[in-house]
Amino acid sequence: MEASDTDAQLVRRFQEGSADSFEVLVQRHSPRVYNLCLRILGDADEAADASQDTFLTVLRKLNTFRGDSAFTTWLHRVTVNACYDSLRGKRRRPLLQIVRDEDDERPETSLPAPDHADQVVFSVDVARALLEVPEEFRVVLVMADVQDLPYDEISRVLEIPVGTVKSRVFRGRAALGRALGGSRGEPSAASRASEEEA
Amino acid sequence: MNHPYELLADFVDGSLDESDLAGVQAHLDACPACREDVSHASAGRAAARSLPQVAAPRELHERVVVAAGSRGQGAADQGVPGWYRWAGVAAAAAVVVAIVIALPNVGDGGAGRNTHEDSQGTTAAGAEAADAVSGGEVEVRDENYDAEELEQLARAAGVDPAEQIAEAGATRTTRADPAAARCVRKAFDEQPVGTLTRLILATFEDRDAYIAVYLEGPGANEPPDTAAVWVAAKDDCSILSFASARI
Repeated sequence: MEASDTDAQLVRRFQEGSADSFEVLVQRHSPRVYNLCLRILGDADEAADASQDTFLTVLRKLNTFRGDSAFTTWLHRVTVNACYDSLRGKRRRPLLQIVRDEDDERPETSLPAPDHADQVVFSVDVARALLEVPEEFRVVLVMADVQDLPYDEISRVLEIPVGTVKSRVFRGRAALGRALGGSRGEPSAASRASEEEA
Repeated sequence: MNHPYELLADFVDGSLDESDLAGVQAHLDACPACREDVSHASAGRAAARSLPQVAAPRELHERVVVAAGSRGQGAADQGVPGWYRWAGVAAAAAVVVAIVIALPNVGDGGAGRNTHEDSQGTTAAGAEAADAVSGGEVEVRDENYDAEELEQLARAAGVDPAEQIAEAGATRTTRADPAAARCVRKAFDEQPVGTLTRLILATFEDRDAYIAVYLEGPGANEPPDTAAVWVAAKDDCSILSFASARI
């Protein structure tokens, strides 16, 4: 088993009975999966659970994965679905209430600590502000600007047109900027459109 | 008024085609809401891109393996290959947790017993407890463990075994149970060497189970720094769950 093996090679070896190949896939992709979950869900424990669910789904379906799409495209799709499942469970409680509860009880413990104090404060602010971005915009925003995925790859993962991806990214960015800076003046065109869709 | 969000995304990215630029600029000149959105979107883009990448939990692979294995007989029906339940657990033990296990010597009266206890930093009390376990002694506990309690058991493994025994007090019951040793040996056959300090007969999520606690040190007479707790089903000796903790 070589660390330089491609994902396709590892998938094929797993299908031939190599358990080690699945472990290499997990080690290789767990940072990306975990960070995607962390920024969508905003909680380290929930992100770990969603990451576990993601790889468990991959494990269950890997034997029948045909490789029609790239492994990473499929993995991202499974990850986003796991996050949506988690969000559906979370929706039983108002999202902003969850943020306030965390403020009261464990201000920064659910987010791992970066190196510099200023960056920590800003990152925590951004991570929390992300939770105020509507889910459908937040998912594409995280994929585009946190994960740095190309728009056409996001289009393949979510199975929506590239134009829709760009539109959601723009609205998500505007919502994030507004959440960070506070609302000023009249509601924006993007937020009005978002409310109309809801 | 229709707002060209798709083009505004490219505008904020700085990747808008020349052919579209004039039209977008004209829209922005006429639409204060979009001008404000562009301002916010630029800030939002920069903020999102400033977020650091965070290290994934080290035990993620181990958690996946345990979750897959804990589905028991239904694992194949769930799509997890049957062979993976065994091979995957071995991989998790060898690479992710870096725990080594000494099961070949459990319950064999000391024959083939681990000879590396000193190099693994096992304490005198720990060695005494290991002697009892390797002699086939099982601690019987009237408890129904779950995953969280397994983690507590792993964390508690850092406490001197003599203190753990004292803490259990009068409720602690032990008995010779060679079947336990055979079952655990069967569950973890062919695994490498480590130090077993506790072997408990209890239930795990309502299923009769043997719970085995191991300590592992870095060697060179350093004390143990990791505890691993494995759970094997009493009826078929299959692996039910696993937890580990730095101690």
